[in-house]
Amino acid sequence: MSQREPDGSRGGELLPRTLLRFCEVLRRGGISVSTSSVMDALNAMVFVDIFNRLEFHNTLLATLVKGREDQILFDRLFHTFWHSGNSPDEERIAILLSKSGEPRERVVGAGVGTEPKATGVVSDGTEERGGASGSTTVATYSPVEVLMKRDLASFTDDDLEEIELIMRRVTRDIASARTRIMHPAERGIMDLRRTVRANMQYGMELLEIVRRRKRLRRNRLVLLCDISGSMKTYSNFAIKYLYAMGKAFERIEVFVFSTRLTRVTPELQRDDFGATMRLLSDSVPHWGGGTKIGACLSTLLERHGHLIDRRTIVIVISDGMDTGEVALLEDQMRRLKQRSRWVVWLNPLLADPAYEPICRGMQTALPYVDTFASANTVIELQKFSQTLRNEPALRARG
Amino acid sequence: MPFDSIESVRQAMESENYIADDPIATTVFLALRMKKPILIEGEPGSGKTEVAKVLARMLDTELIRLQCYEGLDVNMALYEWDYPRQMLRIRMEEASESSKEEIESAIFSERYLLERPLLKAITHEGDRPAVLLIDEVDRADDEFEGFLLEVLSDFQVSIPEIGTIKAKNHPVVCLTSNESREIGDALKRRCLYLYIQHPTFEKEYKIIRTKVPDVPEKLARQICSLMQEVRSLGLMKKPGIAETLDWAAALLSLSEDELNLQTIQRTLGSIIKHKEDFKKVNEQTLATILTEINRKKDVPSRVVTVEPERA
Repeated sequence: MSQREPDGSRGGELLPRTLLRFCEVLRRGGISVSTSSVMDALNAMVFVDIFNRLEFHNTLLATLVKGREDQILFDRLFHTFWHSGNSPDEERIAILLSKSGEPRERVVGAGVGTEPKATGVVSDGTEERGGASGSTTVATYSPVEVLMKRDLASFTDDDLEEIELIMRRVTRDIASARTRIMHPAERGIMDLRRTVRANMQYGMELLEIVRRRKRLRRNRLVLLCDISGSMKTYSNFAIKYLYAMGKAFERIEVFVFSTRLTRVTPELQRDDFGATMRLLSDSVPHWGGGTKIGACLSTLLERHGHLIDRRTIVIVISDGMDTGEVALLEDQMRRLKQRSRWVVWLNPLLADPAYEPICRGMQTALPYVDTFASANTVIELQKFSQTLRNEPALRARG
Repeated sequence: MPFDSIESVRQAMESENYIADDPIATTVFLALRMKKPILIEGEPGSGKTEVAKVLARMLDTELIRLQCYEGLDVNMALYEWDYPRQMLRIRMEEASESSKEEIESAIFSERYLLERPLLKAITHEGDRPAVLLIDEVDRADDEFEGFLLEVLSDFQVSIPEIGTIKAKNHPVVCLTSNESREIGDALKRRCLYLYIQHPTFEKEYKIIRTKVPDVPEKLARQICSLMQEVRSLGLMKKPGIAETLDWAAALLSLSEDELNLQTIQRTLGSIIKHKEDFKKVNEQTLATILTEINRKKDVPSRVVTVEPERA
């Protein structure tokens, strides 16, 4: 331990100040460090040997970093910051922050991608955007935010795990909810009315306590994804979306449709994305065809009718460019709405402020849609999930 | 306080058969010193719950466990009145013509209070604080998390009929989470954070030798190498240290002293717990791994964790 680490005297001025600067660096790197964590770190210094680099490192790790995602970046920043004996090398830190691993570089792309004009899923979605312009803004973004703002269309395979994580949180909200009404239950609070009633037979001798609680209600998700020709530019997006959803949530049924409807739930339960892709393209012969939404809905309701009931939330991902019969579409949409709990239509075109749902198919379907939104980015998706949560009819928390 | 350094904590844990690496020992040490809860996350089977159990043994105190599940409510976590017995008491008091006030004070006393884990941890008697394990906190609803925050911040509970009960000794608190959902920031702020990674070769080897001491050295080394490889295959369910120990015990009871393809296949169920994973860890993969292991026999496998460089 020849190095002079954080400067000497324990109660001194310098250590707290340097530590605060380090926390500032962590924050700039996107790690959220709360004031109370900083206080903890400072308090902890009293108990450990701060001249032992490893102990010092682990102490800061335990007090400042509250998630596994941040640990690698923390390590890097730690070693750069507490590197030289004298003062931390601001320049090196700046360099590290601007290129600390892939995720942060994408920040810049994300900033651009979320500007309203870049509705983005369309063709340019996959191209890499230069990182040079953003080196000043980089620091303020947190990586999660980045991931959420990026257009799903431009996600690479490496991001899948992270989308899946976010998706898991989102779907959890939609999927399980408590009813507002109390039901008799083994445990829970005492139901006075039922208790009195039940004990009448004992001459009001209270022998039996009836309890009640809010019952857990599980919603089922049915996801219908349009893979017709007009949706082709989104297919990259759609597939990853489906894949992540399918993996994130067990009680989900996934169908793809164009002129025909194909159930792809089992294919999506694979662990390996590449294999899933191959399986999908093998088992779904109608990629990029025309669209007959009405006919497909009718297949869904007839052949998979048991999946659609008052607990089912149906999510349709489609641009609504329908080439089938309008009357059929309208009939089937009405049926779908009647039988399900909630119909969501996610239209990727809607992210464009200039878009209006004037195409015939969309216009026909719209009256039967409860929530009409776009979900090209995870932020939008979360907003959408929030809408569902606040929906009185779906009220997630009673 | 007997634990005045990180090293002493590490040794105490080791003497309770828990091999703690530096981050674990540091966090536990700080938690004891700063009297803060530890939030432990990590892959299933990495020994999260074990930390609390070891802590209780180490401190020679009671382990109070609150297992979280969806729909867990305050009644099940904190306290509940024993209604039927209260009713009986009322009848008895009525028969002896007690006054209303007498009845009331009789039935709302601690005698009729059913203590659930959290209250138990708060009212724990004795010179040494209890260890409170709040297991799988991610399974509970967020409302419960809010309530937990309240309890963890001042370790006191207000029971309207009795008054406020305050902890004499703040319990040592461990929370574990399997990351099925994000734990709220407020709760994270209250806690020290520990992420337990899958063990390195050296750590795993040490653990096997401690927990299943009868396993021959060579076999233990082979097991560890194989586990490191298996974890890098991208399985649905990566086997944790718990699986390793099961497997070692299984091999031991079959009195194997070396790994070979047949043995592995016969006992693969100890470490692989998913249908898809069985397809991935097939005969061919295993054979490749096995040759690889035997080839570089004594070279310890690569270190998985990012260890900070020692100055």
